[in-house]
Amino acid sequence: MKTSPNAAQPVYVLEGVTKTYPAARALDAIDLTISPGERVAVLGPSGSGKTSLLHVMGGVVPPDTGTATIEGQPLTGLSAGRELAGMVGMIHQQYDLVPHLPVIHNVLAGRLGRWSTMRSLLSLVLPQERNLAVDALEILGISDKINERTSRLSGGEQQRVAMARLLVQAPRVILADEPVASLDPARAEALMLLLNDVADRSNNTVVASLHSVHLTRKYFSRAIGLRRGRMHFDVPVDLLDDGLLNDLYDIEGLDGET
Amino acid sequence: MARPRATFLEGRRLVSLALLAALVWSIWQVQWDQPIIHGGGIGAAADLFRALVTPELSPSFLATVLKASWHTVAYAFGGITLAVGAGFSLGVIASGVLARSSTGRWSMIVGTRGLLALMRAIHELVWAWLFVVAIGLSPMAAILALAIPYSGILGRIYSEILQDVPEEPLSALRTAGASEWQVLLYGRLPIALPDMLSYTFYRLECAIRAAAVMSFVGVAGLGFQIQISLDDLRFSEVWTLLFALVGLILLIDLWSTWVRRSLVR
Repeated sequence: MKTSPNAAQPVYVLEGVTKTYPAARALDAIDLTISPGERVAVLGPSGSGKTSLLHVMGGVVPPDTGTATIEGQPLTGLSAGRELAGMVGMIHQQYDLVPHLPVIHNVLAGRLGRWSTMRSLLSLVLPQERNLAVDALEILGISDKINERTSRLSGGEQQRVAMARLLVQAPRVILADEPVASLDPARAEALMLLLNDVADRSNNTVVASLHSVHLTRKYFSRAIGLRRGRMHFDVPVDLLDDGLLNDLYDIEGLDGET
Repeated sequence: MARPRATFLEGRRLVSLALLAALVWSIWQVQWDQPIIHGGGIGAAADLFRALVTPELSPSFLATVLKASWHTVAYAFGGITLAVGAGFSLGVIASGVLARSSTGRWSMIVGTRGLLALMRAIHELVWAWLFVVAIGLSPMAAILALAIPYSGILGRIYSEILQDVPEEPLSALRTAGASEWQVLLYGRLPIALPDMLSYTFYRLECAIRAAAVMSFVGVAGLGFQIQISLDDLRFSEVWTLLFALVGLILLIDLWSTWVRRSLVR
């Protein structure tokens, strides 16, 4: 019943969400309801508002007008980060690790929302909850790199470190902003497999922006199309056809192949 | 990203013109009809440079040099150690990165920056005079005189380095639930550390030079010995002392290179 919107209390309810930046209107009256365990792909040409949507859902920026709730609570009320971190985890295209730290501390950074300042300071000397980091790195197959300086890892390994951080953070929702944009098809596939694997472990809800229709069909249950900040379509992936896609990417002259 | 076109007399260009005018005016002020070096000095200068190739190397004098170098290094390290502690604490506050609200941030930045400016506006030599008057000719006077302006300098630079850390890894930490203190510990400091360290080493070099000069106000050290030797016109000794100073700076340089390399590895 993954795709049924009435299954349980929805994870996300967005109503009339609008976000305007000085340069452009990023989101225009977006209505969106997402149920637990759904895998939602956000498609659309560059600049269509995909990142803004994920930022609103991640509590990074508040909407200008409209309401956005997560598990029934308004996102803006939770924006302190700490409460939100247990619910939402984000993964970025650039992994955004701290290159100067050993791998273990980048992974354990996923626990900071649950640790006091003193405990996190202590952890830099004497890693706390080390077993969590070891387990996560083992799942991702890079436990031998645990004490390595993160900057010395390859791109693919750093990706796994970012995933391991997400694993120890253990959020209920994973937001991924163009996680495969700069990767070749094989690596993109590998990352989606990892992400799927991580999400399956605790039946996470996943919302990811991407450009690949192939990956959307393979790893997601639902696809929404954004164009110029407006909701262009919102369909189960099996209804995603070329007509919808051509229309979505039309004027911009882009196409949505892999 | 189009910017409005700047008119000819605006901002930076105006400052450049003012500086150019000041330069022209200062050249105008030089009295070209008088010799730049006064005549009697040439003989003394010749003596001074002749002594360059015959530095004083007798064991007893070398012992004096070593002891003076030790004093200078000790003052410099004492001063820089206090300055790193105070500069770090003040720098973190002055960077405003721990503030929750923007009013809090601005009052932190303005308040601490003012204090830091006050500390470094007064030169270490002036502080040294003040401390010698206040607590007499003691090593503590030299160390405090160094520590205060250096705290001001380090604090300001540290705060800027901490502010300039790239935002992406920090916001990733925040979305993982980190507070600003934790962002400081897990993001800003590890990223800023190499730059902070490298600047601290540079300041240590400056502190050695300053500690040497400091002894002109009467505390022991290389500068004090240079003054004694100069008073007696023993130029060979002066050179030995200057070489010792150069040696110290080179050693700090080597040390800093080594530390930074092991940090990057």
